[in-house]
Amino acid sequence: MAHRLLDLAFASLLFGLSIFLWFVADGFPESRRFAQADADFWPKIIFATMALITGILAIRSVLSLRQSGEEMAGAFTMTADFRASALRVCAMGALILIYFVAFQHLGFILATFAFLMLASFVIPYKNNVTRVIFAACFTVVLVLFFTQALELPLPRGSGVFYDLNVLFY
Amino acid sequence: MLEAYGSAIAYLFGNPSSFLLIIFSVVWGIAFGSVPGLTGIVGVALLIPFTFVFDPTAGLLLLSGVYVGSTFGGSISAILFNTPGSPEAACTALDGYPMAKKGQAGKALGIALASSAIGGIFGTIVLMLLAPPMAQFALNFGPPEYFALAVLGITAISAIGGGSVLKGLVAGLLGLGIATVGLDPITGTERYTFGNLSLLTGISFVPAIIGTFALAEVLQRAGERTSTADVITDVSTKLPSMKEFLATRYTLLRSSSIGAFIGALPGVGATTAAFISYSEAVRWSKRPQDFGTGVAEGIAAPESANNSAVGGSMIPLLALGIPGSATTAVMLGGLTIHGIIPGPLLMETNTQLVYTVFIGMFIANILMLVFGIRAARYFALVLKAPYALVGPAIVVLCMTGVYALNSNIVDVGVMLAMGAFGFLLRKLKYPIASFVIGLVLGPIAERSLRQGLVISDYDYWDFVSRPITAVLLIASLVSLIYGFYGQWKRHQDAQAAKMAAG
Repeated sequence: MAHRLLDLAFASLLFGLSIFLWFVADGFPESRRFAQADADFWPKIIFATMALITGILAIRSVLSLRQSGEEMAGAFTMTADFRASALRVCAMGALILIYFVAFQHLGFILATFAFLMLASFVIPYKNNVTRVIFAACFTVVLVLFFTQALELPLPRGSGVFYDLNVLFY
Repeated sequence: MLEAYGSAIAYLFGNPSSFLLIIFSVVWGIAFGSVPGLTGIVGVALLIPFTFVFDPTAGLLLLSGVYVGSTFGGSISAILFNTPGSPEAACTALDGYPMAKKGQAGKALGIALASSAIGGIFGTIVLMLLAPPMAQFALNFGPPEYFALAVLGITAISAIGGGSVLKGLVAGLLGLGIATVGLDPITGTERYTFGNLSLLTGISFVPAIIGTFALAEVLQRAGERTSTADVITDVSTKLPSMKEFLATRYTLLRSSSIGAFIGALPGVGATTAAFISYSEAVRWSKRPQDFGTGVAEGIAAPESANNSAVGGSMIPLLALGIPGSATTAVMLGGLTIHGIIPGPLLMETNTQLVYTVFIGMFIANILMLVFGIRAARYFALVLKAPYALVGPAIVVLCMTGVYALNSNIVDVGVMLAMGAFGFLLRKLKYPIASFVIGLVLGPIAERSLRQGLVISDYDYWDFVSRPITAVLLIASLVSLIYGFYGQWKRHQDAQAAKMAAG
């Protein structure tokens, strides 16, 4: 049941967004030379079609929800499995975001090692020794591969971390 | 043409490292194909940033080798633990897993490997024979024809994907919409940048596809309970004997032909080819009742078809510049970062690249056979690798690869945003393939439509009534009708089954 609600919410969001983006396109500066197929021509076709289809999807979701009205009572009840799964996805998402920030400020080596260590706790795994060895080895191999073999730059971070990373690459 | 092949062979032997690249790419492809969820698309997407350090020919050799290897790789997990590593191997599990359960896992892998190699070589020969004349024919194409081809690509992949056609179309439109961000290609007007200067050049394609496929996959897998306990890893591949091989020769020939033909149709691809070949194998068999219990033809048919479709799907990419599948759409991104625009002129301006890829794919199929015999047991071990280590490592590869492209952190941000978006689309069952095809074909479709209208003096009838354009647009309409009909039929069947059960 919850997936039908999500379907409805997403279709409605896309419907609203399509209309908004259609009006944004309507405000694009006009060019006299290409007046009949201007910068807004293609985006308007896309977003008008998308509004039409997402409108149909939203109406279908509403009808489907109404047909199974009695099942709505349990729509927001989360099973333990679902909760654990959602928690793992959120934790992984949050760690990736933190890695993105750390990537710029701490530099590649520290950020990558820490990320590999922490992210391996999100998915159940018992062998702590392998966890540490893998994180260290993978970081070293990537640093060598990118900086020595491919000669491509890796982020060095800022401040004291920059000075530290300069020692390695 | 012979001169072009001569030049291609000279390139390969003049650059012995090309052979190493092909070997690496086949092994990489088999490894990615064999792990459920990773798929060849992720394998290709992750390698794109690394192709930057090679010349375009070597880069494309690398990507096409991964495509070849991954299509076979999917069958390993399908046979060993009934979970196809890639969608195109789904059909292989129907007979591969029952055969493995009978204690004949090695034989099943051997049939899959030999059939994959034969199908792959057949598809590559079709590619070699058909791509040049098709490119010659495509020189007659004007903007209206290209617009119609782009429309066919999006509608076909939305309609034939097997899910909701409307959701497929929305996903395609989302891709088209995102492709409009940046400067208008004709007037130079800013569109949807909302004052952000880094969006002026548009949404970078490579970070977008890496995010949509690889990162979204890691997020998805993080939420699943993954078990590697049931994998059969103690196997040694046994190629079929000459007698067994001859017994499946008609199946192999028929399935390879179906695969090459279906692969060449924009938007259809290897999965459909595998299923159609399987049903044809059942239809032509003298003992159709044995299918599903572990018969050799049940493995040979889908495997030869899906590998043959690889060569077939390269035809529209190289000859027309229109990707026929999600993997070739990703490969198109890899080509564009080298400044190469696939299409009819590519055959004339970059003959060495095109013909080297033909030969490279041929070699990749042979190498797949060589490595597959000895290494299947090691590829089976890949399935045992804990995702707690593999998943985060893929995130690191995505971030590092995208950053290394332009040393631009905004690209990494784009990849993360597209990863989250791709995850949402997957969860809500909006097909990612349609989204990526839309993203790739967006600029082609828009430019062709507007140029075509200008040329025809904004006469819409003149635009759509050109013979090839009309045929392609009618084919788009037919594919949509077919998709809606298929969806309606599935719904009716489900209702009938529900009524019968309750």
